[in-house]
Amino acid sequence: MDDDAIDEIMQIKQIKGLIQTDTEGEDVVSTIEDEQLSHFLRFLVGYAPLFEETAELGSIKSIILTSNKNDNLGVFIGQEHSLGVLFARGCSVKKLYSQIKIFLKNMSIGDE
Amino acid sequence: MSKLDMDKILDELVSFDGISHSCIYQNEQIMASTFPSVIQDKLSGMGAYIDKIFTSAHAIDRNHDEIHIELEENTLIAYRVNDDFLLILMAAKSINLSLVYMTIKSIEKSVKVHGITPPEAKPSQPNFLNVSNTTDAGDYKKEDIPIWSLDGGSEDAPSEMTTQQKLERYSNGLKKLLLDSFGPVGDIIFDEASKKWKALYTPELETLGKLVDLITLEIDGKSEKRSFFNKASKYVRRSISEIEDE
Repeated sequence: MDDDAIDEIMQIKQIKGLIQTDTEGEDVVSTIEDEQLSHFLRFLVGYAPLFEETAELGSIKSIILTSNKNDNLGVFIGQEHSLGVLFARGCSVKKLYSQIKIFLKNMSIGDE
Repeated sequence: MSKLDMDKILDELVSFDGISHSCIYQNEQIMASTFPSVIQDKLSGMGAYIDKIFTSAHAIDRNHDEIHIELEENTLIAYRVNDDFLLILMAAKSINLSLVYMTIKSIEKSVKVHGITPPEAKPSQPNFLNVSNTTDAGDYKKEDIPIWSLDGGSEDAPSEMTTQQKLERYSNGLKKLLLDSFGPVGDIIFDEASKKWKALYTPELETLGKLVDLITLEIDGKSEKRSFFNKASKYVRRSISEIEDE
């Protein structure tokens, strides 16, 4: 993802940070300074295939965690890249998805 | 929380449009489930993974208690309830999340209010609470739950009852109206209003109308307030006239 795309996503009011990782969980791009949080988002990306193997319910497209006390966070899983997002508490999962759908499409993540 | 209580929670959740299955995971095992048997053996593994995600989030001081795992066709949603157990739902992507969220919040409060062990049976609530003593929880079916009749479950005619028994009978009737309208939330509403009623007034037949007022105050939404108030007022009027006719 190029710098312009990152800037565009970061313009979205509810989004507070993002991290793009490759298949090996290495950061391609990150605007998240909190190292523990970055680790956690990478952990979620790495955890998805393990969960898929256990559940046998098909592939996981995204994992989102919400809270009344902290900002929400989630990862969108793609074939080559995954996108971790830190977004504002109270912002719904559906709203977040509609706002970043175009970027997910450009990264070959999501429905398309 | 008894197996019966858990089954009741799951039963309510799967009655919502968009929720196909649900289960409760606690202490590394599935305590109750409506998932099909073919997936039962995978559920505890899924519960363990989800629990690990919540635990890891808490380890970095994040208090996340709700997770959405989006699959191809559905979404697996899990809630960490009171840091005690996981409620896992298989839901359609179009699910009304607010409806589910508010139900989970009412379950959280109910578990907090009643504790994790089932409340002891009281004479005034024989049918509802004695189920766990008389029915094998493993064979629970929704139709097994005896429902209070509006007369509070007593088989005695009002003329043969003491004043205290009448009071219990009619306040249970009001509670039944609430449960019919609001499900488990009705239980919480009644408890809150009943506490205030006992603190503010002498609990007697003459102050039953005050209990109706206090319950109505606890209900959200104008139309819901009006609907309950009308039904409850009619019920109290009928009950009082029944006594006066004796």
